[in-house]
This record gives sequence, structure tokens and C-alpha cells, in this order.
Amino acid sequence: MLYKRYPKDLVLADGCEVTLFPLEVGHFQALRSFYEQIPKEERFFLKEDPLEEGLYELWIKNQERLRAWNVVAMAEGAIVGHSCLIRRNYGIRRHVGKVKVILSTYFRGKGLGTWMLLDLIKRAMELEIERLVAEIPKGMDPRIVDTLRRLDFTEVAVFKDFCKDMAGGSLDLIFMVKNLHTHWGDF
Amino acid sequence: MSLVIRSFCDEAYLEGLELHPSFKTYPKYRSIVTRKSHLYEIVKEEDSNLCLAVWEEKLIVGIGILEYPQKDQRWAQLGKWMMEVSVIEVIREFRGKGLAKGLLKSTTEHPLKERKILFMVGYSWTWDLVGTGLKVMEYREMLINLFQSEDFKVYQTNEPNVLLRPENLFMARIGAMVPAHVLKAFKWLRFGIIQSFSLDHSYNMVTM
Repeated sequence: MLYKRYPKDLVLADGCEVTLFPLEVGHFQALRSFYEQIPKEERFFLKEDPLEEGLYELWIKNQERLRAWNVVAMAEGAIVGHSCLIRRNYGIRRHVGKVKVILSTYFRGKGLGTWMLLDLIKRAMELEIERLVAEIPKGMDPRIVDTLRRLDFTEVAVFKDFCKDMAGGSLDLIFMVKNLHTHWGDF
Repeated sequence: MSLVIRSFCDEAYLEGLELHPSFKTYPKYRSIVTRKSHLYEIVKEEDSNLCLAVWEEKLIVGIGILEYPQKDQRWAQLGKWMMEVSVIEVIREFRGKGLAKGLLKSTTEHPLKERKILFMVGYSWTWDLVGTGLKVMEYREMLINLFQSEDFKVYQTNEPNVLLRPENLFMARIGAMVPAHVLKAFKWLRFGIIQSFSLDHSYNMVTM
């Protein structure tokens, strides 16, 4: 069921046409090129170095184990966005999913991030995830928090000076949560 | 005991029928059609297909409607290229027998089918979750499977009503004779971008 919904065609606000695909081994080269174009300082916001050898194989393995769902956005043969839903199959956090979206600089501000988040939200609902979490280090593009708010993510905590940037400076970590519902209310 | 599905029902056929009383308002669900008079309006519309499942030659127990979209809908901007499956409903007592599948098949079996983009919108607030006992995503999956049986596919759109809930759904079936420029206009229209060329002119170019 997970794969049959794709590819998904999108037209962005400026008329750019983009297609979403689940991450496959055949995308590795394009994915590496995509991450090489992301500024080094921004890559440092991620939890893993996306240029590390063998990492994409691990992502695919996690995908097969239903612990992650990776989607790439392609335009004219190049990857222009990568989104990921991470979940645990065991334990007290098995109903929680974590979302991550990274866009190439040219494709920011066109609505692609919103589409990729909407795609992850639908996927999470299909997987019966009840709560989605996004962690955003302060200092990232402010449009990310704004977009998440518009999709009903709410800030539930700010961890002061929790992160450190490349130069060692302290950054707050914003913790946002969205509840997913399986039924309508009675009111 | 007989159950008949009949498409392209006309006024004369409707005369002898009654709407089953189960087409009504329930505590958490309201049938889309609750008055027979609504069906008379449908049969008068150009190219529409009113398809009925009739029990014992008397009682309407299932309804399928194919019609052009309302003028205030985004999809009306593509002129007569698009037709909407606006209703597929089977009363609770007759569900689980494959009737909806038969209704959908007969509803979309239209002589202009291959020259049209048939579409449906699924808004979760109109779904009978209580009657079916399904969760919203299960209901969505059921709808996708139903419409896939008639070659509909899920398409992304930024139509505001569809975007109101993540489980809402937009599906379409592209007819084999729909020209490329209309397909492009359809793709853009799904994202609220209107093309400048005349679609009506192109429509007239096609031999009907």
C-alpha cells in the first residue's frame, strides 16, 4: 500500500512541476548531489551527515523495516527535496512519528515543503500514527515554523540553548507537535 | 425478490419509484439525497447520468449521479471536459453486497466517457463512519479501492475544501480521447492555475 500512491505530481505556486517518489536505491546519486548543494551550515542542523558513506542504504533498510518513510521530490531529473517520517515500532513512543523536510535553496518559498509535509501527514495517518513531532533548531529558515503552524503543529516546548551550531554557539530547539485524529468529534 | 441497477433513468421511470426511508439524516450522518425531487433535477441536466439501484421494482436503495460540476466549483473552469461522480450512495441495509461497485460502474458507463475527465471529491465530514464502523483512513482506503475499480486515480490538488482535512480525497479518471492540452490544463487547474487558451473552442473541435 505504501508505494502504490506514488508518483504524485505537483505544480508549485510559480508553475514549477515536481513529482514525489518514495526513495529507492536508484536515487542515491541524485540524493548525494542534492545534499552537496545544501549549505554546509544547514546540513549541520541535521542529526546525521547526509554525505556519510552507507547512510542511504541504512535509510532504505529502515524503510523496509517500516521504521522510516523517505520521499524525494524530483524536478527535471534532479532531487529538489527530501522528506522523511521516522517512527518506532516498539515501546511507549510507537504512536509518535517524527517529520523532517529538506529543500534545495531554489525550491524554497514555493509551497513544496507544505506539499511534502502534507504527504507525510497522510502517510502517518495511514500508519495509524497519532502524534507527529517536528524539532526545529532556532536559526533555521523561519518559514519552516510558520508552515508547520499552518498545518496545525503547535509549539509545546522550547529547549533553551539545547543545540550548538558549527561555531559552538548555542541555539534553542523548538519542539512542535501535531495530533492526528481518526474520528470526528461529537459536537 | 429483485434488485436492479439501471442507468440513465428518466422522469417517467422515476414516477413509479419511491426513495427508501433510509435516505435520511442520522445522528452523525446525512444522506446526500433525501428528497426525490432532487433526482428530477438531475435527469433534466445535460449529459447527466442518474443511476439507481431499485428493490422490488419500487424502492430506490442506491443512487449514483454523474453530472457536470456546479458553476462555482473550480472544476467547472475546464468547461465540459470534466464530469463529477457527485453521488454514490447505498442505504445501510444494502451495504456489503457489492452494490456500490455496480452502481459506480453503471454511473460512469457514459457514451462520452473517453472524452471526459471524470472526477470525485471525498470529504470526510460526509462519510458514514458510524454506519460502516470504519476509521477515516479506512473509509478513505475503501473509497480509493472502489473508484480504482473504474480506473480512477488519486491526484493531488490545492482545492481548499479538499485541503481542509488530510484524509480528504480527489480522484479522477482520464478518458482515452482527452487531448494533451486539456490534460495540461487539468494538471494546472488542480493547483489553481488557470490557462489562458480557450478550452471551449478545443472542445468543439472534437467530433462528438
